Amino acid sequence: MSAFVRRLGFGGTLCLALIVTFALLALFAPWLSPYPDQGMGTPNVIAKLKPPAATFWLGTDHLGRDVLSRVIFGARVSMSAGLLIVAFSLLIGLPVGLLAGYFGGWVDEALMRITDVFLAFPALLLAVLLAAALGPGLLNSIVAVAVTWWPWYARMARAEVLVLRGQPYVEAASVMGVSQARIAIRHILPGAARPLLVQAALDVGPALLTASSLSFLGLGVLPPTADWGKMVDEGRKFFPDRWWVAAAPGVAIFLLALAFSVLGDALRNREGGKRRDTT
Amino acid sequence: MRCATVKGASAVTLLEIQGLSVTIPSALGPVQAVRSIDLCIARGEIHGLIGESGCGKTMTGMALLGLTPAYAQVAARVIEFDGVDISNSAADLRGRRIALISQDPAAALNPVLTIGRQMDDVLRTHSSNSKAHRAATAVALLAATGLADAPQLMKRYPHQLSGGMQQRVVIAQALATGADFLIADEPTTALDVTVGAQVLALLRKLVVDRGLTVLMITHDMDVVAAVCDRATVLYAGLSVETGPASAILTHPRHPYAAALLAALPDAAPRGQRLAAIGGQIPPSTETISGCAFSPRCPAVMALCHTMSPPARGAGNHRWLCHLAQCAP
Amino acid sequence: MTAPLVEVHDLVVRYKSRGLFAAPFKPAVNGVTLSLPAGSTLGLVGESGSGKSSLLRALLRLVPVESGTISLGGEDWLAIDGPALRRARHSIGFVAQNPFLSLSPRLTIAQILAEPLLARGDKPGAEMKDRIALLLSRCGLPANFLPLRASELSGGQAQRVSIARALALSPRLLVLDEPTSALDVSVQAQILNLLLDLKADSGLSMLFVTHNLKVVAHLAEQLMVMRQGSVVEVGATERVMADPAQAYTRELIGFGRRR
Repeated sequence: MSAFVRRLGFGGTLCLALIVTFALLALFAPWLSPYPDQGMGTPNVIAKLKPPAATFWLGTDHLGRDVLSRVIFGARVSMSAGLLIVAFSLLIGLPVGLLAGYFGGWVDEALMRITDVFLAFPALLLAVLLAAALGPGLLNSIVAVAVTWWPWYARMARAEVLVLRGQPYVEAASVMGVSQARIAIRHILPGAARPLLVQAALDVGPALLTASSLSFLGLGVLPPTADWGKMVDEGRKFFPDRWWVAAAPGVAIFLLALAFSVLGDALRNREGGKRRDTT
Repeated sequence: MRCATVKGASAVTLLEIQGLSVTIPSALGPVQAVRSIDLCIARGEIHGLIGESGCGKTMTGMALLGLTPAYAQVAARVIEFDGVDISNSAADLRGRRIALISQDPAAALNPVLTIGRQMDDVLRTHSSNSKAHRAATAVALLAATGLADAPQLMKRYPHQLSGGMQQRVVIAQALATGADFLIADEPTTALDVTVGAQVLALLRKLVVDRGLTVLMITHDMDVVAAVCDRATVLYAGLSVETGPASAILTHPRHPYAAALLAALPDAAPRGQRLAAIGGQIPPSTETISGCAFSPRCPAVMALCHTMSPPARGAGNHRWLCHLAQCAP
Repeated sequence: MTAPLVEVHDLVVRYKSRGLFAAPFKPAVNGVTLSLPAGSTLGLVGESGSGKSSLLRALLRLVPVESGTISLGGEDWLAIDGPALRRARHSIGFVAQNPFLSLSPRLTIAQILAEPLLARGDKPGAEMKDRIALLLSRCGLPANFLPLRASELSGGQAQRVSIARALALSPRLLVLDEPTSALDVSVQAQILNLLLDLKADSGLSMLFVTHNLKVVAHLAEQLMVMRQGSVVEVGATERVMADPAQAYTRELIGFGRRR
């Protein structure tokens, strides 16, 4: 354990702990939240807009629902949005970049021009347009953001592959008569994937921010499902007099985004150190 | 103190080191990059510092330049340059009396500045002459290193020059500092054999013409044979043999020096196995008991493992070994 | 009288210049002819820009050839292409200069040595494991190195692994590109000894490319000196070493001769 802490650094470990905490809260929300039914959306109008107190630790919203329970249930949506956006993007970007970088020539030209088309639009605008076209819903908003996200991974993967393709060990494999597919998957992919995974960890924060932005704009999950971005939007109407409605989900977004960034940084530093050793 | 040299007892010692050690703290305990090195260099000689990777030869050079990392502990019984104790002031001499010629000239030169500008940068810190005067000096120094058409060269960038030319520019820069002691760390390793031979010939010429002294750090016996007057053989951070280069190359006394020479490809007839040295150098974190070479020595005796070897030889050829008659 | 294993005739390698109107580059290899009898070793000596690396890369089919022929075991080596080339590559083993760069950093020694066998289509299993251990021991390393990665080895050990990998498919020709230049003198001797042993045991044919004439002269029956894309001198090692016909060769030999 102590070796692990040393490798990630104090900040990285703290952030990992924070992420794990959020993940556990999300996973066991029905058991961990004080008012699970309110967390899932049941209104409780007699206790409308109550400030934080012993009964409702973080107060209640405009429908009288416990904000703490809503934030805990909202973690489910926000965390899965952040992780799935990055995962989908990697799933598209990594193979595209690998193919483009490895085969070069017209394959590279075609794939990279396609990614350029996606990069030509402002990312959030494109996501908003897509989300509007696809209609509201968690999966749709994830797809909308992922579509604007993968080109970055494709470019990064291509750049990594171009460097690795010229490495003597890749050349040695091709001289041995190893097939192209095997060279790409066994000798190039592992090396190219590592920096991408680190970047992905860094990106989970921004990704969940973007997803929250969409639901803030009313393009995310449908009510009554709890979502941090949606909650900030709803709380906005009562700000600053009833500040707690917007503050709690806002702080949650901030903390989780920050935690992923710092963890990604810690991973990157570790990766950087490793690289120096091998060259 | 005078040190004995091939040129006779009249030669004056420029650098004398006794018991130099460089220790670097690490997670695995202190790393002894240099354990105990004695070095005696006479003015006007090219002194080879011979060793394989991990023997501490580069770290010795860095210690003389005051360029060891801040966390490294450098200690020595004696470390005198031109008769003055420099144990605390090695860095002050750097760029004034002592200059470095590194292995990779391309890395030693700034890629975005012209040769003229880089020469002037050095000259400006060492003189208050006018710009035109400095430019003339730079041209003269570049010409002195055998570079043709030096005025044109002043306007060029490093990448427009070949490796051999770059190394000559680095040498010209070293001369521009006014240094009379050059530490050349594998100066020909990055160059072609024939170009390297020319650079070595240049160094030899500069030593004769300008009275320079050179410490030639190398792993290559051919370099020692080509230019060195005297040499010191390092093993595991220890100086195990020192003497005239020709004596070390033809009649090495320390078993390690002998084994190193026997491992050269031209030491055995074509197609016959070479006398490779078995085993590995002791890890630099390990404390050595007895002789450092004893685990790999072909002539090892029982006491080699327990007792430090005594200094043998006399005059200008000395070595550390238990055997009275060494050279197996 | 055995037929030559490798015959290169009037080979020209020229790299493409960039841009439509850029002047074409001078050929990197300019009309080189050589022949390597089976079971013998040819030392190809040259400095940077001599074309020795381009010749080697042409032989390994890593760069296209402009004109000329290469035959390997009597077959037209340049005519083979596609999947047939992939299979035919098994008859050449290749050892690069820096073992730490030419061994995949993320694979274990066992996995590295399995690669060529899997590429040939061998099935993984106990038999392959035995073969890998045997390969490694032939190159002087015990089987307990198998689970390690290249970064955990010394330079000499890693180069032994690299040689073992090159020998995995029992190639007819071993091509070595500066195999000892990144190593210490004492380790270089170990590697040269290993190559001598392999030569004596299995009659291996070798093309040994290096800038260091003395190293290859120890192994090779024939020497070929290249400069600026052309062959300067070629002949039996003893003859070239004792009586070099060219001043350039003399320069290469004469450097550092003991006084």
